[in-house]
Amino acid sequence: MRSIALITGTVLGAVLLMGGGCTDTSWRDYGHDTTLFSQQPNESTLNASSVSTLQVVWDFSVPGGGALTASPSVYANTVYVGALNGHFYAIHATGSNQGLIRWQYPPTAAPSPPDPCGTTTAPLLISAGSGNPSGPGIASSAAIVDGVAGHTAVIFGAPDPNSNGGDGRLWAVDASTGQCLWKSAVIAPTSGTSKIGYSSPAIAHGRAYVGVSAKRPDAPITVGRVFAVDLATGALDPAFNFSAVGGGPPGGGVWSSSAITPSGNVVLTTGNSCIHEGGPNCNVLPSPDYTNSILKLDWHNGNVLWQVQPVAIQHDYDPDFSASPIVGQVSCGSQAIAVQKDGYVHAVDIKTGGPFANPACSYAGHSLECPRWSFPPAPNLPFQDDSHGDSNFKRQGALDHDHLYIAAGGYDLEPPPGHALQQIYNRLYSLNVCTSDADRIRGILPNLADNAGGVSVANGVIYLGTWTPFDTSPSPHHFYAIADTDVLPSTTSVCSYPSIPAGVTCFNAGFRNVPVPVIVKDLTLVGSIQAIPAVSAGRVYVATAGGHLYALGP
Amino acid sequence: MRELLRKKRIAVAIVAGLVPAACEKKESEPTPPEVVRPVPPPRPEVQFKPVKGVSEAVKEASLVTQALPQLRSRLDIRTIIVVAGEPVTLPVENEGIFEVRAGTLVTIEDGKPRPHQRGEMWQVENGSRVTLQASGELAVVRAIYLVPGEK
Repeated sequence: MRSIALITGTVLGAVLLMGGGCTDTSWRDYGHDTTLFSQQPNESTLNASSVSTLQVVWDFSVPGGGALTASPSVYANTVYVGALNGHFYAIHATGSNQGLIRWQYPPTAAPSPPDPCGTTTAPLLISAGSGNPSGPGIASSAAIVDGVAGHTAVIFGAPDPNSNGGDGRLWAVDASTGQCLWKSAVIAPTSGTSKIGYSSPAIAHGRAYVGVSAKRPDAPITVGRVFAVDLATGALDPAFNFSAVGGGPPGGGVWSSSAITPSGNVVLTTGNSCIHEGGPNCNVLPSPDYTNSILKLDWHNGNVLWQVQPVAIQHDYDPDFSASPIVGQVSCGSQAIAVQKDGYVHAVDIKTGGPFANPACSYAGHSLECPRWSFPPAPNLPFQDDSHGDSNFKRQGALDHDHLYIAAGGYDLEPPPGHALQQIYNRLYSLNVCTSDADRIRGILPNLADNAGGVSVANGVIYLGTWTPFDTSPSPHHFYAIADTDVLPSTTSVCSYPSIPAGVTCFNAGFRNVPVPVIVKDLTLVGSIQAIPAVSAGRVYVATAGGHLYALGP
Repeated sequence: MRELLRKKRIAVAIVAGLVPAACEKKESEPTPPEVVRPVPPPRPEVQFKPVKGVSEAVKEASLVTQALPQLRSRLDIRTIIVVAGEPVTLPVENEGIFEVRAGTLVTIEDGKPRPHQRGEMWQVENGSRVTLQASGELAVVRAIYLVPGEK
């Protein structure tokens, strides 16, 4: 009897220990971790019931104004976020100093003696302007990394004001003191056409993988590249080399953040070519051409292991990927999922090894993979028509097991008469990533007040704000907490083709009614919310382009 | 004592099995069979040319030209690309319909901008001039002209 008690006690103790050992409520990276699932697996306070009382606990307003288009990261009771005014802020998350600055970089006084970064008080701004809220300061969300030169460090991309008017680099700053540990070698020289914009570092193999996009959006289009930065020193790894085009015209800017596959490879999305936008050499096709694509790269060297290019380059009317990929394991395997500006979502099997290609989705000069599924279904890829363009900026969704929450176009990408385009695009879809096309849609939340910003999920509650592209004004926007239909059954439904004409029944038209998830809380916040809300220890941290960082709690 | 030791060993083994089970991340990236799809037939490449007398911000390509003998007319379907920048004015030589196929744009009439979203169609008149400006980085318009006087 005593021995049974001993075993039971030991096992129970171990289980408790494991709980403590594995429970990590931080939100260390853009999209929570390198899968970019944007899912908090260890939230114990916020749920479909408690979020009904969600309110502003504190509101940090960027001193002097400065849009927040980067997403917040949370670690050790501190919220980290960079601003377009060129300052990076560490804010106390809870306690008597909550909502107050713990440190900022660059500091208010230059360090003495000088630090390894040559830090001054000059904000991290690029002098050449930006053209959209991917600059001129910090739009790259931070990753919090242990063991960087013996420190827990905050890593982010930003211009260096003391280097040719804003050469783009990664910065490593001590998470608790704000002291600069290193700045990387130059990644985006001001003499070129690129900058580190929205791309956030993806941490793996002792490196940070980060991409570059156009200094000013498409004026001119730049060559998309991904760099691997050694976390110990900030040096660029010369063995890793990825360029979205091979000579000839530019293209394939990396506006998004890379994700890391379960076996450690790099998945990224790229922007458009210049074929229809004009510029030097734009009348010839790049070769190789990795523009407008989802790509899996070998983490050692940047070699392409597969490429999905949903729209053939000849029909590239700027439907590029502004959204990052979501990458990782689901019940039916491992998938990389991303949405394009034309509203299509594509999911690709990650697969082991490569290179892979499928003749069914390839075309002249392009050896391409096929997606496992697309939403809406796309039986013939790549598209070769003129309807894939710059219609609606899409942010990536969030993934909770097999449930994907994403703003997408849906079945009615061509708005029928009487239906505005925004009505078509301002919908949040809940998709099952491991079922047939016929059963793909789990639910639709139609009629969001505006475009859906970054999405996160915890405990079956979906968090997102509305955003207006390019809007950095203090205009009011909505922030929603929405219950998945598994945790709060829906009382209403909508046709899976939501703009079905009057007088036609959903079923007879070949569609089906699907539940409408319940909005449990709808708050009005100041500023457009394109960032991903970070969920950590009973709080939701929301950054707005109106220059506010909010802590929300029940 | 020996029995107690044996049970302690069992407990340790259970713990050793449980800890990795709880903390371990699966590393598999299964490789399912390739997706089976029909290979789509190749389409002819669309050749874009600058529009005569108009800024380089506008290019067009002819997609289809179809005679309509009973109407003594010809159907001329073109794709027009408008890139970001200043407004551009197109001469309209035939009656037709414009449709926004991708992106968004505004038409400017009497100095007043009128936005058009994807899927929207409007009529253009023979002999008129249409001023277009892309709202984003690029917009695509399909122009369907009815060209009279042809057998």
